[in-house]
Amino acid sequence: MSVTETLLLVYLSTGFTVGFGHCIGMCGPIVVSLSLGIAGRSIWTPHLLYNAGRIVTYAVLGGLLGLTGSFVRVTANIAGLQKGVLIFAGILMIVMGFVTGGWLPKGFRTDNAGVSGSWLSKGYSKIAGTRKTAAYFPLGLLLGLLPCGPVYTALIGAARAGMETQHALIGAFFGASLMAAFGLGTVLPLILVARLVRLGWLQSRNWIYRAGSFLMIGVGVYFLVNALQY
Amino acid sequence: MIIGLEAVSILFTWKGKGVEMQVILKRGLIILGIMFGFFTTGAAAPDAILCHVHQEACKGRLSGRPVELEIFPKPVTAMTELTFRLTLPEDYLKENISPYIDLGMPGMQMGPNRVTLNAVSRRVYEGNGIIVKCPSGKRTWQATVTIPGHGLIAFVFDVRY
Repeated sequence: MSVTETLLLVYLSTGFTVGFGHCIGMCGPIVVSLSLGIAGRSIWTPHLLYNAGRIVTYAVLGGLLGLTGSFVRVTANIAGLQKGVLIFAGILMIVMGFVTGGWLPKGFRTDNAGVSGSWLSKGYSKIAGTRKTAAYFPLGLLLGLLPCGPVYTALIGAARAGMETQHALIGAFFGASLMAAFGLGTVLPLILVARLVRLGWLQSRNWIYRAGSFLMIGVGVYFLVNALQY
Repeated sequence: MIIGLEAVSILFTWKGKGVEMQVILKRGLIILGIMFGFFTTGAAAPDAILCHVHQEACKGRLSGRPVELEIFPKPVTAMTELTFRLTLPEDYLKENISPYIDLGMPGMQMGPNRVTLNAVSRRVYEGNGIIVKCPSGKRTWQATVTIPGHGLIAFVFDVRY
């Protein structure tokens, strides 16, 4: 097995272990929020699209770091964007929490069959509760930019790999491949969370549904506070 | 974690409504697991040495011999290029050692982040690395110095964001 193949396997397995050890805790609430937008449909296609979006973002970031060979320069340039994404994710979860908890005024409420005409409902529909499955891909692209320790750590490796290659383009390809492998490794743990926390089941147990809503609002606020300090 | 929750939930199976209750409990435990994973605070390894990395070098003993780790520039800030300087006693010179440092957060899996060290003088080894920023806001990091053939020593310190 070549060094490249070995590294790809290392990144894949790192993504898998980090996915269970870290991503379920940190990104689990986001996945739960997204699952609540998938009412009466299979979770597979939306979540696979969401994860595909994340992997593409990771690969692009890995490619950039592989190309430049500089972790610090690239991450410094995207820090502002990441803060914005953190705020977006926080707002998304707070809105989801209020909507799924049924704590919005009647005109703002959504239901499984569709959404009402209010601005909030429309916004909610666009960012998460959309009936269009394809929307989960750009959502994944965007949320792939969320600042995350293990992703940063993997990107350090991608930058190092870029530094060690003889040509910048080879470095970009190698960095992108490593980050794609890492992202691929994280898919199974997050899909597992999405599979286990299903809307249909939550709907039939009101108290758990409410508890989940509290959790989402809490995590959303936590994200916003972190974004302000980021 | 999931496997553990699965095992716990299987222990609590009600008769009659057994399957239904098992499913409820299983999923409730998973939500609790997610909450625990999110809000849990990292705890340092029990034998890790706490140090004030912004003011001084981290000092400890491995197999009775002194080990000193200096990180600079100070203050030690995340997301910047850092130099890790390891100073070992002279008796290590008899051996051809290649020490390295693994960076991580106590109690939180961050993925492998290894700093390889090269000898820059008779007793001093140096390498460059980056401590990443955790959006959870936690600032406590651990540098585990491994000296192959002799064991490892962990230093715990706070970094600045």
